[in-house]
Amino acid sequence: MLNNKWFACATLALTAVATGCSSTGDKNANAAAEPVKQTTTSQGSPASTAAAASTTGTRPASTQSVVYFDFDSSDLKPESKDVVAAWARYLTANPTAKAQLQGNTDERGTREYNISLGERRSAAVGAALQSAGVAAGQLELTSNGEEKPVATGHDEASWSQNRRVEIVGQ
Amino acid sequence: MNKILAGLLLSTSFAASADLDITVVGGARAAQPIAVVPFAQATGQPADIAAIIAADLDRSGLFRSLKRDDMKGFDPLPTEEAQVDYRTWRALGQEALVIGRVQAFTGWVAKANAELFDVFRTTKTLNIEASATRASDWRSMAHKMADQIYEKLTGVRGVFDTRIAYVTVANVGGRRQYKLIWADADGENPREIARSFEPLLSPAWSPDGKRIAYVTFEGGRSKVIIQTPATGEYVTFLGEKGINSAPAWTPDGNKLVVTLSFQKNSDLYVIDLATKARRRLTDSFAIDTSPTVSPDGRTVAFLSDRSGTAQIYTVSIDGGEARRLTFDGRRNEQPRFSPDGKTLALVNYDGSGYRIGLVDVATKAMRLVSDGPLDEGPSFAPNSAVVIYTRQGPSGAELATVSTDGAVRQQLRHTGEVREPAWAPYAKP
Amino acid sequence: MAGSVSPKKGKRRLAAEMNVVPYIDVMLVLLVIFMVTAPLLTQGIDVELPQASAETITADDEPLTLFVNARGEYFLDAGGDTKKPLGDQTVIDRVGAVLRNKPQTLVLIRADKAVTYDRVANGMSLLQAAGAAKIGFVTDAPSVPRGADKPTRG
Repeated sequence: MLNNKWFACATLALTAVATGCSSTGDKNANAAAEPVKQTTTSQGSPASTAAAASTTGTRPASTQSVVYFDFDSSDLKPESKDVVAAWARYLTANPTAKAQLQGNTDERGTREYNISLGERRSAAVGAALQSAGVAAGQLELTSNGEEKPVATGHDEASWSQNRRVEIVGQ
Repeated sequence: MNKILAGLLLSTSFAASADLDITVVGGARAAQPIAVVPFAQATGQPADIAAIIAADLDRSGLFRSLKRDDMKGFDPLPTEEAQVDYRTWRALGQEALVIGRVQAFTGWVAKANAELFDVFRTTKTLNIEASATRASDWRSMAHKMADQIYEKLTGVRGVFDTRIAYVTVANVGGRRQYKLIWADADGENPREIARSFEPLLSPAWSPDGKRIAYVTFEGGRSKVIIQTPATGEYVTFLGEKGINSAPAWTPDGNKLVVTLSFQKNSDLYVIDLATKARRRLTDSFAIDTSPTVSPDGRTVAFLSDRSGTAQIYTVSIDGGEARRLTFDGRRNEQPRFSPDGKTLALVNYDGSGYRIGLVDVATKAMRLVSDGPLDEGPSFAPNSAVVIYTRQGPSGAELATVSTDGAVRQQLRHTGEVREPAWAPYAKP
Repeated sequence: MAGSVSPKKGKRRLAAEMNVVPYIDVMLVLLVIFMVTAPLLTQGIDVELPQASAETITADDEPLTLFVNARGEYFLDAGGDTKKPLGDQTVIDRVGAVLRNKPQTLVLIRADKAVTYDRVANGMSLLQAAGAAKIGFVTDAPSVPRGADKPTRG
C-alpha cells in the first residue's frame, strides 16, 4: 500500500517534471520574440566569439555572459558550457582580468533563501571556471537573490530568464 | 551614499497621513456591534480619540462600530456614566458602548478617561485610562484605549498601539528605489528608516523594539545594518565576504543569529553584539538560512536544504545536531517563532503555490492560513494572534494579515509595492 | 361468506331519518376554528402584519414606539429623553438610525384617541421617511406615559 503510494507519487512527480520541461520549451517558442532571440544568440554564437576570444584575448560580449538554471537548481546545464569556456579562455589568457559572478533567482521561494541560492549558482559557475584553469582570485561571487529580475512576469517564460548567473568583467 | 536616514524632516510633522490603506477583506466571525460615542473634548485638539478607537476596532474585523451619522438624532450624547440610557443603545442594536472624556493641559499634555458598558447586562464592565505628554502622543493614547477595550471584549491583548516596519519599492527616475519605513499598526505616521537604490531586506526588530536590524545591498554587496529608528543612529554590523543576510535577534537582545557565507556556503552564526564574537552554529554543505530564535532563547529554527529541498530544522542555540521539523509539502521556508513560542509560522510550497503555514510547535501539525500563490515573509504580531505577510497583488507586492485562527483577513495596500513586513514587539513600559 | 346475502330476507327497509353525523362533524370543526381565532380578533386593526413568516418575538426585538399625545406631540421610547417632545427631523434621525442598525425592529404608533388624524398621518410619513416599511398601530393606547421614567422594561 505504502509502496504503491510512493510509486504513484514518484510517477506523478516524473510526469510533472516531464510536462514542466515540455511546457517550458513551448512557452519559450511561443513567448514574446525578444527574450527568446536573446537566449538563442547567447547559445548560438559563442563558438565564433570563443574562437575570436582565444586568439585576441578580448572579453566575451555581454550576450555570451549569462548562464541559465533550472528551478531551485544550481547545476550547470550542458548549453552553458560554451559561455563558461569562452570566459575561461579569456580569464586564463588575461591573468590580471577579474570577473564578478552575480547569481540571481526567480521570484518563487522566499527572498532569504533565494539570496543563498543565487550565491550557490554563482559558486557553481565559479567552480566550473576554476576547473578550467581560472585562478580563484580572479573571481568574485555575489548574489542578488530574486531582487534583480530581467523579466517581471509571473510565469515560467519570465522565471526562466531570471534564474541566471551574469558574468561581469572588471 | 544614496541612503538618507530618517531625519528631522519627517519627524517634525505629526499630522499623520496613512501610508498603508488597510481594509478588512473577510471575516468568518460576525462582527460585534459597538458604539464609541464622541468623547467630551474641545474642537481643534490633535486627535479625535473616539474616531481613532472606532477605526481601530473596525479594522480588527471583530467589531462594527456605530456610525457617527446614526448617533446624530440622539443628541445630547452621553459622556458621563449617569447619562447612559441602555434602552437607546439596545434599540440601535449595539452590544457594547464606550463613552469618555479628554482633559487637555498646556503643551497638549492630556489625560483621557473612558468607560465600557455591556448594553444587554446594563452594567459598566471596564474603566479605561490613558495619557499623552505631547501632541504626537494623542493617536497612541487612543490606540492604548482601543487595546484595553479589545482585550476586555475578546480576551486577547490588542495590537493597535504597535508599529510595523516594511519595505516599499517605487520607480524614481527609471530606477527602483527601496525605502524601509516604520509606521503605526494602522498605517498612519510613516517614518523612513533607510532609503536606497539597492534592495533592502529582512528587517528584524530587537526584542525591546528600540532597534532594527536589516540587510542592505548598498555598494552591490549585502551588509547587515543595526539602526535605532527613533534617532536614526546606525552601524554597519556585518559586511563579510559573500552574503550577510537574515538577521534574527536572541530574546535577550544581546546577540544576532545571521547567515554568512564567507566559508564557502550559507551557514548560521551566532554573533555577540557587544564583542562581535562569532560562533558557528551550523556547518553543512547545504544552504542554511532564515534563522528564528524561540522566545525562551534555547532553540533556533532555520531553513536548510540538506535533504535536497528546503525544510525547517531546529538546533539548540548552543549548537549540536539539527533535527528536521517539517515534513508537509514539498518545501518549507522562512520560519518565524510566535512571541508566545507555541507556533511557528513558515512559507509552505505544496507544488502549486507558496502559502503561509502555521506549525504547532508541540504537535508539529501544520495549517495553511493564506491563499498563495506567492506568499512569503511572515511576521507575528506581538500578541501571537495575527500574522502579517507579503503577497502578490494585482499591482505587485502588497501586505496582508490573517488571524491565526484564519477567521479575519486584512489587506494593506501602498501606492507602490510594499513587502518584507516586520511587526515590532510591544514597547517595554 | 360476507357476499352471500340471503335473498330470502327480502327487501331491507329504507331509513327515513337524515344522517346527521357528518353535519355534527362539520359544526364541531367550525366551532374549534372560531374558538381558536376569536381571541386574535379582539385587538385593534392590523395595518400590515410584520413578516408573514412565523418568527417568534424575543426580548431582543423590542419594538420601537412613536407616541403621539393628545396635543399632537411626538415622543420616542429610545433616546433617554422620553418625556421631551421631538421635532420631525429628530424622529426621522432616530428611527432611521435604529432601522439601519437593527432592520428587524418593529415600529409601532401609539396615538392618543383624541389626537387629530392629521398628526398620526404625519407621524406615519415621518416613519416612512426614516425607512420603516411596515408600521403597526396600537389602538388601545393610553396617552403618553406621563411621568413614567422608563417606557418599557428596564
